[in-house]
Amino acid sequence: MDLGGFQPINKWLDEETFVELYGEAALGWCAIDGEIYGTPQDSGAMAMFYRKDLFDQYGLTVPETREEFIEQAKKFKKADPDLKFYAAPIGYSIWWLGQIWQAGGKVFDYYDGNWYVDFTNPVAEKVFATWGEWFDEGLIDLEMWWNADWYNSLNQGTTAVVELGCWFSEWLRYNAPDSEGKWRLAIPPQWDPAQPHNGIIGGSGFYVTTHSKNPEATAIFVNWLNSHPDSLKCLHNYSNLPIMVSTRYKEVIDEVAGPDAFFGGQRIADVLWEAHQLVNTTFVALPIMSNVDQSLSLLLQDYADGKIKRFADILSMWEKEVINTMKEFGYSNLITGELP
Amino acid sequence: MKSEMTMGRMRNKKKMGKKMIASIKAYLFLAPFLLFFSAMVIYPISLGVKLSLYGQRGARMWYIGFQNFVTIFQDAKFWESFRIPLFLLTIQVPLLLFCALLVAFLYERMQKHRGAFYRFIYYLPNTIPGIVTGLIWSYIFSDSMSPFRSVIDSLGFSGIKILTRQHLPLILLVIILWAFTGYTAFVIYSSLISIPKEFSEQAQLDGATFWQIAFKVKIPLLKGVIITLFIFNAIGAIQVFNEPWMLGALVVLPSNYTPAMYIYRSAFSEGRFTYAAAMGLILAFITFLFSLYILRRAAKQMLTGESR
Repeated sequence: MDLGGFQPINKWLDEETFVELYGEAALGWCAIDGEIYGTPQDSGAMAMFYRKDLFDQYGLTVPETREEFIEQAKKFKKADPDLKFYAAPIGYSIWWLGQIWQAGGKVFDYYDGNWYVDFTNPVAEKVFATWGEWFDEGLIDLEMWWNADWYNSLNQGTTAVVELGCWFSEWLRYNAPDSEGKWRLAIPPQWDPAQPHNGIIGGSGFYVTTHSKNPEATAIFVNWLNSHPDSLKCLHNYSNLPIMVSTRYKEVIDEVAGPDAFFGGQRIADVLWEAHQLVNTTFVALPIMSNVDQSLSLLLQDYADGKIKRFADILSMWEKEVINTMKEFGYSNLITGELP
Repeated sequence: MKSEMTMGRMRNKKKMGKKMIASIKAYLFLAPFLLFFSAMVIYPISLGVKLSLYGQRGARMWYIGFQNFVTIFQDAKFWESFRIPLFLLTIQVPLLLFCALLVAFLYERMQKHRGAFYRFIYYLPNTIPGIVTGLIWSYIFSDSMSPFRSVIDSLGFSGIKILTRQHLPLILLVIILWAFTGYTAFVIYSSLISIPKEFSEQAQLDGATFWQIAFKVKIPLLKGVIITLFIFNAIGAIQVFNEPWMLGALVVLPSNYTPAMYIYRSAFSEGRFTYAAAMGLILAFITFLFSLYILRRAAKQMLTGESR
């Protein structure tokens, strides 16, 4: 949005209607400084994918808080140290950002003409410090995702839990066919059950570019595409994306979502819709996300190789590189150390 | 006298006419190649040159002259990325040439059909596209699926990971040697068999062994081929991309692992197309300078060596 590739469509989709159709959180993904540039399509709301067969085999219960989560991890490790209870990705920064989001926090944002960067805020520090403890105790593994090794472990059942966006239900279906019927979905375990949050990993949006020769038609189309029940039904059926952001998706959810055989008959749409509703905070992503990702990937690899001792130290190193890159790319409207 | 001069002029005109027809014919034959060459090589390069003179942010571009090049000269990341090409240049290329030479000499010693069979199967790796090669090798070296994992574990090395960033240069070495030794050996072999037999027969009569003949007699005569192959491999080393890129899916690599990877990332991950275009030109220029240097040195050596 910041790079001048999109044009504002407030004329045809004002903020009030936008919030009514997509929820207030979506403004963080489709608007800057009050200018709306597009509409969100599918939701990347986080869900916990777990192997029911492994849970049953080792007598684990589905955790609802992070404390219960780590108790189950300990139980699992004791029962079978060769299997992985959970693996966090080396890299894939939007997952880590999603973890912080799910704890109700953020590390950067945009407000009123300025970019804000603050990685060492209390929520982020808490998340990273806790994960660091789990890594140090050997309860959770770190590995690279999105490669044949990783899919292999999901397919063969050497990993018990994965937290990812709801769209992952499709990825799992295609890449781990041998594990059909063994996975289930749940809301990610909460850091504070009194204040539930959820984060988003991925998802998609449709925007109107500056090259558009007929912005009015494009804007109307983009709005219809992502909010009209007929369109939402098609989107779900043809793209197999389980959950759309639009609030009007609930009008068709009963029609399109039934028991899912891959997930052992569970009505995943219900769980995922609930997961999406829990996304009650938002922020705007920086314009240098691929660099943000690169910086984190290298730091995580260094940590996995033993070059960084404390996991939480990664946050400040990451922040330094992000700030440097923002400056290198010419962003002088940068405020560090605080968040709006 | 006048008639002589006009006769002379007419003869010259005829010569020129013949020359013109000859060159027109030549260009007609070259036309298909020239067409594709200008469309696929000259046009993109000139576009790249134009792009490199612009600054860019997202969808906006503005003319900044040579500013990109100034920035690149100060970009530590770009220059650090030459470490891997340097490693390949100093270790992999000589090693490849040495192995290929040995293999070529072996080809010469083999009987016709056996030799042809080995030449064929050793050439096969070169026919597989680089990306596919990198992909399959990444499976072979991956820690969860490698067929060698069980062998390595049983030898007592079960704790050691095969695919790590420290091991990567060695892994690249293995992959590139596997892919190109056959082809290089084949090229050397073709030159080898064109060396007149009298040289080796003479040396044999003087009492030299096969390997002595190989190194003292034949290799000096192969200098031209070896230099050419060295340049080809050096260009490949400086611009290496396929193999490290595919392996980068299994182990995190910095964006500037090789110059080509840095250029690719700058363009397609970071969207800095003009910056990447400028870097690409500089890389091409460095490659050109290097080839020129090697050729000059080789030419000098050949001239001074020709002092029989």
